[in-house]
Amino acid sequence: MKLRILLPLLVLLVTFQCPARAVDAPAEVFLKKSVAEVVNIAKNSPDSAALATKVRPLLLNIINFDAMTRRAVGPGWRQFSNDQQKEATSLFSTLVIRTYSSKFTPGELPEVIFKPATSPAPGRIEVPTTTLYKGSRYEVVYRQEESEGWRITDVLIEGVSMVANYRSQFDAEFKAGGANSVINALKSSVASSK
Amino acid sequence: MSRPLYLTIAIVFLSASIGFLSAAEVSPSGVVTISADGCKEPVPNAKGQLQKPSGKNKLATYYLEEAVTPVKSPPKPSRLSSSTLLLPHPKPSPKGVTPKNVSSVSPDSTPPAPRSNQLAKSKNQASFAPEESITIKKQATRPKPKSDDLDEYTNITVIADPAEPVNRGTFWFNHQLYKFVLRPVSRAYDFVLPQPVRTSVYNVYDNLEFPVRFVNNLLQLNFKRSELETEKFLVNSVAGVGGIFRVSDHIPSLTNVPPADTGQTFAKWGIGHGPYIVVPFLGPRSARDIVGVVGDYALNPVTWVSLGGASAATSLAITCPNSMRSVNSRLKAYDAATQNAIDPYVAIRSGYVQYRQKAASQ
Repeated sequence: MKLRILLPLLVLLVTFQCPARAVDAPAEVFLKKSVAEVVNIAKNSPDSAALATKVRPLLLNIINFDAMTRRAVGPGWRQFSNDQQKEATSLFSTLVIRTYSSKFTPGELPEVIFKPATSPAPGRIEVPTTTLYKGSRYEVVYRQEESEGWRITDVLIEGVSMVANYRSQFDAEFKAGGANSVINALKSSVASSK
Repeated sequence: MSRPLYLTIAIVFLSASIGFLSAAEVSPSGVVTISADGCKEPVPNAKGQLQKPSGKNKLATYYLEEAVTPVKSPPKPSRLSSSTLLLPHPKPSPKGVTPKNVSSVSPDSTPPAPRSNQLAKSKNQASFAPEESITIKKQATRPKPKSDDLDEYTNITVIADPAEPVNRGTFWFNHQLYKFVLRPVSRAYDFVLPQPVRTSVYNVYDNLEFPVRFVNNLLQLNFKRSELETEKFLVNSVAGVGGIFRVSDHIPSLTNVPPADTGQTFAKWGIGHGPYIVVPFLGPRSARDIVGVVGDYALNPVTWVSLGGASAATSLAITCPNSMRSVNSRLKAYDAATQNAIDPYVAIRSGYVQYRQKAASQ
């Protein structure tokens, strides 16, 4: 008799649990695999410039640079022509890849500890991690969205969002001189060897 | 909707337009707004009948389903010639979004003149032949633009920066200081002390700052964290040999205890950032955190030794490594935020305020 009552409950539980797993697991699997691949490339790179070149094709598949650039620019993006949008995305991708490559020192590999993911909205997921690197601990959160896989749309290091940080910089540029000003600033930043 | 019905609504709607165009506003996005006062005929409902807006709703908004092209043919002598209904092309949306639920048909695809010109023309001539059909549907839902993710970061935390020109000057001074003084010193520190030793120095001084975290957790009424901080201090001091080794990192409950400081306590008490100030040598701070730093110094045992009558040599021996580890970690954060930045000043300001916002929310 008890089995009769319990069985439908079990079926219900399984039914409700399955979709959650189906949504969450691939995102985390994707992130872990991506991080492992990046670390593997870093392992075989003599310096950060070589790493930037080697890791670029991989990051273009892992990170949604279109969304990142669009959001970093904000509503002004609507006033970019198609060509300007493509150019800005390409320059911004280069900048982001270089930013993260420059954080690596040859021979020093990070250890990434993944924590349980949260889903702030359907189709979105945030994976908090603790990254141990060169004796320091960093809280890094990866924001992922479901579009052609669970690609990364933002990275927060110690609470500092990369997209929000660039947004604050692009806002001033856009107000000063529109799309051209943003693109020129990007070109200047990519060209400089700060 | 059938063709005759289109025609019916079109005729009724065009009739309604006579004499109220001054009150009928057409936006470039294809939205027609009809005021109650200007609408002599009722407005169409789903059945194609027109009903006058009533009650508090003096305005009704409608959305065009397709673009409407003004007809180039000369105005026909009709009752429409005294006034005009002008429905412009919807402004091309970035992703080809077209407002829905209202349709219009026109054989001509001539690009529209600027709106000001159209409106000027509209006073003198009819833009549509009477047989053209225009259909509207009441209170269509405004189409959601596909690119609404552009507003994702609209509400990012900002800080007032009333003294920006002065701050930029101080920022430049600090940059030169980092570049020509502190960075070479930091490199020498890195060269002299190997990584494990530097980590140990960092751990010892971090462990010594226990009173800052303990007291501020108490002030924030976070007794659980005060307890965890005490456990962490005891474990690292005893098992970690005076804090040289962070044994607490291997104890799950003590691994992720968020840091606490006086500025954070002020934030928890509801005190705002105040203005942004770039302090010479120290770098970015909010007014709130400048006061907070004073509290942190007062709670730091290293300060107690310096101010407690210790000899200059002892004081220097104790404070110097602490200053070095502080400079070292600050330079790393500075480099991370400014390398590849579009505007390093704004990058640091944004990074600082986000970082402090996170601390306040923990």
